[in-house]
Amino acid sequence: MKNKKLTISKLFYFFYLNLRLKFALFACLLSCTVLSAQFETDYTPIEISGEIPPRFYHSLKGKTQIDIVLEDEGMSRRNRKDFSTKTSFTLREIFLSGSIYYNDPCTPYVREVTKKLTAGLPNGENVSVFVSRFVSPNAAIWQDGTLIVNIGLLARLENEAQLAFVIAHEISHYESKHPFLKYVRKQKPANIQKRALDNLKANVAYTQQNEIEADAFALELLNRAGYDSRVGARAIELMMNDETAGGIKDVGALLDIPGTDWCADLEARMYMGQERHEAHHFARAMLQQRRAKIDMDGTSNEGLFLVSESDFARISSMAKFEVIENHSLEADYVSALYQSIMLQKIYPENQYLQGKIVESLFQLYLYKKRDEMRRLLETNQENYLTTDLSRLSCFMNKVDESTLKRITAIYLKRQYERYGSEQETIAITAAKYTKLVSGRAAAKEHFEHYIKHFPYGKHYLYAEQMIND
Amino acid sequence: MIFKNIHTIILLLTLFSLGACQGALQVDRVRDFKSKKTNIQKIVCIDPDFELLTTTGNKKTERRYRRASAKEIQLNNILVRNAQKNNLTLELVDTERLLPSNVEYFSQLAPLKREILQVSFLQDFVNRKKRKNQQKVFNRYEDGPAIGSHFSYLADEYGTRYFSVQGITTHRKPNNKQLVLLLTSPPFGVANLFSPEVDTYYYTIIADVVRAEIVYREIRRVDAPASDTNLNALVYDSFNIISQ
Repeated sequence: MKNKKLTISKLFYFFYLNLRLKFALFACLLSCTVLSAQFETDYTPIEISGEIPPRFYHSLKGKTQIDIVLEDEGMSRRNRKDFSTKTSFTLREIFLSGSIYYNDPCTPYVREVTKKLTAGLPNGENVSVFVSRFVSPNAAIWQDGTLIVNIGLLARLENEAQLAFVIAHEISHYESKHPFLKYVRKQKPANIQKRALDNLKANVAYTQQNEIEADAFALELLNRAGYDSRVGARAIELMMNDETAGGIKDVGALLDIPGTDWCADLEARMYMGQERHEAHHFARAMLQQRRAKIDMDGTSNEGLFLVSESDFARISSMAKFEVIENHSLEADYVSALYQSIMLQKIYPENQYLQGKIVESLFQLYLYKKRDEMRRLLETNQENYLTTDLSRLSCFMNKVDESTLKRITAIYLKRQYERYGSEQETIAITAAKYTKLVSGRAAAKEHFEHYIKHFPYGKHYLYAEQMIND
Repeated sequence: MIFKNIHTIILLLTLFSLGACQGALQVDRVRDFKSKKTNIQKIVCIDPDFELLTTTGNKKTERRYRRASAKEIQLNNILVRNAQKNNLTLELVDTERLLPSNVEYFSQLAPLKREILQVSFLQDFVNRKKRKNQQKVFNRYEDGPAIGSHFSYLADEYGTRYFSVQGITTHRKPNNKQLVLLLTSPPFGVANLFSPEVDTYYYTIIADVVRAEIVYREIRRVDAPASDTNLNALVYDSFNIISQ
């Protein structure tokens, strides 16, 4: 009887487990399908909505968090107060600039990962996490515990453990009071060398020492939380290199338009500026040192995803689109164009990407026509660190107005015929392009087309004005 | 004769060297920027800035930031008051007074402010190179720098198509201690020795969101501190030009 009961319970358990496994497989398949379908045809950029969190509008009249956290570090009261005020005002500027997301899908996930790492840390509760619109693959922490993770980082990393490593690294800086100690060091005249080169060397050595210290503590945090800490080395590698760079030989291949050669490697490097190139290599060499050390010290764990694999995949994909959107908002049309074309390889039918390519090409043509291309490219030069991007920006600099006009026209016409009545950006860009090239009278038809198809569009009043002018 | 009038000459020299309130003004506008024609009645001013820069050795950061913050509130009052005097309605969006419900600041106005500043830096008014006199104070151009047309819907929400970014930057420089002044006119020279040298810059950029372009841009510099009296004069004159 007992045996029979055991067999029934075993059978039940087997079926139950089997059912759970099947359900998990089904859920995974469903989430992958939904995820893929979510970005296959279109993307809507994250829009800020809902009540503003207090952190975004708090006044600086009261006492700030840093005053409480920092104790005497051999600094005068005035210097500590200066540091505290400077930090608070810098953060306030960042928050008020509209560069930080809130009520968005990415922040809660990043907070969950952070919570796993800060559990048990004495100052862990003071760490407050935000995701920014900044495109550089990085994160930063301030001495009041404000941790800002850039959307560019979320777009670049491959798994949750890598994200955990970067966050843990920043938390280590906070726990070791590195931002404050760096300020203290700057204030002490004894630390300032006579020769500029000696000063630079001393600063680099000091920073590198802090980074290595932070890496070591980050590995500890990762192990404690159950993450695979070997991924740290890969995370650093991904932060250094954009591995989506495809080594495409010319703009023609990029846009499928024949007869558009672009700069050779050497020319692009010269254009980029040898100095900048060397500085980039120097930073890479320092990162390489850290990477090698983590490779040695990291330990293997099972945990690549402790919060959610499907959430990470969704946020990572979303971040890739957001990076394009933010490049566009920052007027870096070269990067927006390039990233859109690269992401289009994964989502060939995505209308948002088609719209961004068209818009970026138009904006680049506009700047070329206005004779402001050089200024535009120089402003965004620090984003053109990969060979592909420096070659594309070099091409945009040297291409003549008529060639760029031809490229824009061919691509725009192609997309307008397909999506002109469905995609708002393509419809309005076609109208703007016609206005720029052939004048307002010729563009009237296109503006009317926009009004007809997008009566609730954001460009409606502009289109109406262009018709009535 | 020359010795007889030496005192007059010294006095004149002193007055010339004391003619401290020197400055510069440059106004760039699009071809039809006139309030009668464009009928500017209301402008939405997005979070005016007040910045105190210093290149002197004394970098009391804490005091400087707090002072800038206090000055920003004064500037806001001065802007509203002087706009009224020139028959303009200035709707001022002040981040010091943001409420949890003011979502539109982050979703609409902060991006617009960033776009206006960015475009104003990256583009110039069209046909500027064809202009013969580069030093002209008031300039008119064919087209203004182009901003994104996706902000045009804001005109319906705010009841105006004009949005501005305004601000003050003061720059405190090391005093170059005019020894000549100390010799020719000791009282003024001594006063000069202890008073800092300050440049005040005032800027206004107005964008027409419906036409999606920057229609007015102005920058002024005076070699004087940003006192209430100086600010009142600068802002009044600026609004006076806009409303003419």
